[in-house]
Amino acid sequence: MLIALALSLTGIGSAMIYSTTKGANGPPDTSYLAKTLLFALIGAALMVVTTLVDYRRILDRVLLLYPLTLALLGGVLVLGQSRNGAQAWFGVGPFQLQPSEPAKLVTILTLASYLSAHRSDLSPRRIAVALILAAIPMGLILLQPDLGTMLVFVAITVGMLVVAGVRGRYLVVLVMAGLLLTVGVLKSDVLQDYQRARLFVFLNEGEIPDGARADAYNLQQSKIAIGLGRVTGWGYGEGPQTQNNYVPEQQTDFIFTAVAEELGFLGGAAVLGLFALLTLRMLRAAQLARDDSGSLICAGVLVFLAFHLFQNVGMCMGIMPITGIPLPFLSYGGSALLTTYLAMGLVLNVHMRRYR
Amino acid sequence: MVGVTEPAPRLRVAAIGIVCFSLFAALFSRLYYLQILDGPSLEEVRGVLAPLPVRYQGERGRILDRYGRVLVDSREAISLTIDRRVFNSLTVERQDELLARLASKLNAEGVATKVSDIRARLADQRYDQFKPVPVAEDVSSELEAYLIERRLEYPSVDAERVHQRIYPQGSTAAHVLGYVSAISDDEFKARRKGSPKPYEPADEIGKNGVERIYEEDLRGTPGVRLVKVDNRNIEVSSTPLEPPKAGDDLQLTIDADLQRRVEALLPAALGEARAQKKKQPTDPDFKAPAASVVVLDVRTGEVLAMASYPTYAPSEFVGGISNFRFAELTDPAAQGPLNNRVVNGAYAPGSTFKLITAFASLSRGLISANDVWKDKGFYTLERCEAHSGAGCEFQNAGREVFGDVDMQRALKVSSDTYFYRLGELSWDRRADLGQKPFQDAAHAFGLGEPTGIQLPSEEAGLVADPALFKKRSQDNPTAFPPEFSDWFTGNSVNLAIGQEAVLTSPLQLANAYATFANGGTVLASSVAKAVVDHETGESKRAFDRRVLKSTPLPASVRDPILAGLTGAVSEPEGTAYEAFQGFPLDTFPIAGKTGTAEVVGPNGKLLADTAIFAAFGPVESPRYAVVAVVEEAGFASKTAAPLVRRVFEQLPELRKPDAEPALPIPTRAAPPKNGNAPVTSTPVRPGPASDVSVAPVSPTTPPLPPTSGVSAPTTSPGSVTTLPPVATATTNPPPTTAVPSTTTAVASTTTPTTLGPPETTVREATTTTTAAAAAAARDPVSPARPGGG
Repeated sequence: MLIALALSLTGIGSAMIYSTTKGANGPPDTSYLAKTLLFALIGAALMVVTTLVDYRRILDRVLLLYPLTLALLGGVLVLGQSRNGAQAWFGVGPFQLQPSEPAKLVTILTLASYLSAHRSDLSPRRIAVALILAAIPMGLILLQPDLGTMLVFVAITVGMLVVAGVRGRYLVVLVMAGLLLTVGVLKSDVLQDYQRARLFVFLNEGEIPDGARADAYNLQQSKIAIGLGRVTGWGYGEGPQTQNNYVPEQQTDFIFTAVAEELGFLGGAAVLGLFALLTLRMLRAAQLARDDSGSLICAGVLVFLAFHLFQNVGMCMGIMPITGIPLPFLSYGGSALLTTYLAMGLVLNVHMRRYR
Repeated sequence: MVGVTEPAPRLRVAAIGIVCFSLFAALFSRLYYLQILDGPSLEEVRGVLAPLPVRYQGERGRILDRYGRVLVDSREAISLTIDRRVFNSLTVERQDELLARLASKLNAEGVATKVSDIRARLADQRYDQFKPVPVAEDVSSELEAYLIERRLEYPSVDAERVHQRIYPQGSTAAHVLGYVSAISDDEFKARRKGSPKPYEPADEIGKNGVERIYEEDLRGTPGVRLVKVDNRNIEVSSTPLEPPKAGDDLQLTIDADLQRRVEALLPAALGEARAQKKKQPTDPDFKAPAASVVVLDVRTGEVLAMASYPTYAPSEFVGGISNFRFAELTDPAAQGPLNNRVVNGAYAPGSTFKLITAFASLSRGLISANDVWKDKGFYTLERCEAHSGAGCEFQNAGREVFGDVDMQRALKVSSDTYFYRLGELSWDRRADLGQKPFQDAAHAFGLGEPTGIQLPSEEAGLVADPALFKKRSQDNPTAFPPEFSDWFTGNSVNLAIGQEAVLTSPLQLANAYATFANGGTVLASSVAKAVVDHETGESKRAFDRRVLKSTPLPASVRDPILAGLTGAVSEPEGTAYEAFQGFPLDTFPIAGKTGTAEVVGPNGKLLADTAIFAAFGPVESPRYAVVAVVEEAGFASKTAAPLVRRVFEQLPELRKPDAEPALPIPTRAAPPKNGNAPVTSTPVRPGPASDVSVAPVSPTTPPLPPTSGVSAPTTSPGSVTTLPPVATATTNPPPTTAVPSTTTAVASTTTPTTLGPPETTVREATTTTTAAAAAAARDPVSPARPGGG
């Protein structure tokens, strides 16, 4: 079931990527589609490979994986390439690797390992250690700076702490601290003015702050495209906004607009429905897992994907700030797709071993 | 199954689930709202893309001379653009291939284009990121048609119609006109809000001359149209929301024909000045790098001609000037071709200042006109002070001995010693005359103050007095150490002959002589006559004669001075006699004064003197004041005076029968405007092929209002004192802040102030319009422009 859902979402994603990138005129451009299919294939293979090793064995390797990830995150700040204002990519031949993507999984595994090991005694000190484990990669990502990805880590951490059984009052304290931290980041100099501006552009109806003009335009075009979709959409490959590239980044972060414009409400709702089913399956996997660590892994992946989904689709529809967070399975981008499949692999891994 | 811990509480996982599904609910409902509920407002965009409002420029107004001859016009040119949004969606390979194809097509059409240039344009952040970027200007309509037919082969490429400046009279009056080029970031920010004619980031704006001062009037009001394109990005309709409106025309006081003739005189005069032989090998070279001439109407303050050399061609700025060329134009070694020396130059007036000294001395009773002084060729201070700056002995140029001189003869032969003595007398009698009688007189003639001309950065000049010496030493002790803080007899002595403490622009000097000529009325100088409606030619705002102040000029003061100035030109011992040999002084008598001012270069070495001649005529009913300044040219009698004579000879009433015929004066204000279009017989200004239904035929433009009869000397009033009453309007816009010249310790340094820092944002038009829009621009019923400027 999980595999079927993942593959159908990937199928829709590939189709939409082709629609958005084939070009309006002349011979169709298939390079984006080809790359996506290649990555999907590699991803599926990785998913299978991931399921082969018992997830508890994987957890045993966390002590190796975690420092490696931190090294990559640190390295990208020094050696990485800059794009859209964030230094987040390693150039590897024709491909670009974004270490913050696999870092999400490693952090999930690390937290799952640590929290399940101390399940019976989650004292404030232990919670603090868990928070620090999550905070180090977050801090490195914030230095890129990539606020959106950092927020994914926040969501994952909170979700896993909840599932791990941290007491209610600690959670309240944590939420308060999180809010303070967020306000602090917004007020500090970590963010450039344009980043601050784009965070709030979705709230403004009238005045567009300096530096957020591109985002405001992006959002406006996105909403027009979605609104134009109506019930049934324009038909595949026929969406005017999509075919004219009026929505910037429409094959990556704004791919949902292409779905909504060309396939209409039915298509958009179907995609959301598939995600809902996927979420249900993962919830179930989390509940049926044979041990805490499995349950925590599933919950972590669940929060990770759900947050991506909500943030990305919400952004396209103007109810969330504009951040560069891709839509799982659908957005064009190799690192993200591989990570998503790896995450699915982890959930499958836990689910397969629920009886043993 | 050993060691398995309790599963995590199902409740907690369920909590996560609940949160997730409430978020799903939010997404579903938002999607439903956007796609189903929020319908009607988007219903209209079904079938086509959301129509995009596109702002496009109205035509910029023309600049006309006083008789309606067109000095600057606008024409429509076709520019090729690339839509970056579409372009960026292509793969790099396809981009490269497209650009290579486009460049070779352009080169085949004779528009030299490099792929790297196009790439640079596309990367230039100054272009509006949502508007197509112009990549080639002024392409043929055949190429436009070719590319539009092959849209599929040239994705992202489009053609736009833009307005460009054209200069039917070439570089004539370049300094008055100024030029337009792309708006700078600062200018854009300053004009971003509240402008009735909003700017886009790459719009053109007047950068200098009247193009800058009358920007608000000349600029067209942008129109807005809604463009709908189908899902192949092909325009299906274009609905004008607001038609653009052409800017107003500006009528100058300049006589383009006279201007052209005067400008042509300058290079020759400089050549002659350079060809002079030095008396001694150690004398500084006659480099004669620059010269300027101004012709004023003494009755109105109107500038009839204003020439500054070296000059430039404003057409170089059309479509964007290269940074390299702009650097050349602003290189100090090039002597500032963009610099209008008439208005922005600051020169020691030398002996031309004796008019002021004479006026002050006679009117304040320092001397009587008939008092005779024995000129021995040099003057020794009667009360010599220890450090009076220049020692105690002052001499005539070349220690020439003139013998007995009275006021009239002193002006005629330019006896310095006579005026040195007045300088010392004035300072001796400061107890009853005040410390600055000459300075007061200078101000009474408008020196040391802006003339109010409608041109940027007018030089206010300098008339220093004891109080200023003290103040500037206190304000800036480094530049003016204490020994320069006191005014000595020597300062008054030098001031009397226009050295050291006084700087004027050529325009100010002309205005001072005009004031003397017209009987003592200081008029605001004016280069703009009126802002007139582009379509009808009706005057919207006239810049009438404006009196700044009046200076009493009784006959007892005026007559001896006038006799001296007339004698300087007409009598054999006069300094300008030689220069005016053969000039019809009997029918057109001229009064004038030579000035040969010492100049110290930046390195402290003496340069060749500045040659100045200030004159007016005809003497009995003066109409014209003319000033010529030739830099580093030596004696005024040899260079500036002959130049002024030739300027007078270009006046319509003095022109020789064999002179080149005058430029025709249009009977209609509107010649055909599109340089490409064939001349049509329609009285309407023919636009490009356009949707006629949108373009109501405008009525025949009536001829410009008759101008004052400059070409008919018989109509001139008999005397300056019987001038018809003229309304004193105060509608002149204030000139942009004048940059005060840096007054150096040696006040006779006459480096003209250069214009502000070079503005390096030089680029081409991106103003766009379609045929239909251009037609709409001619809508004669458009409302008057809002605001008064």
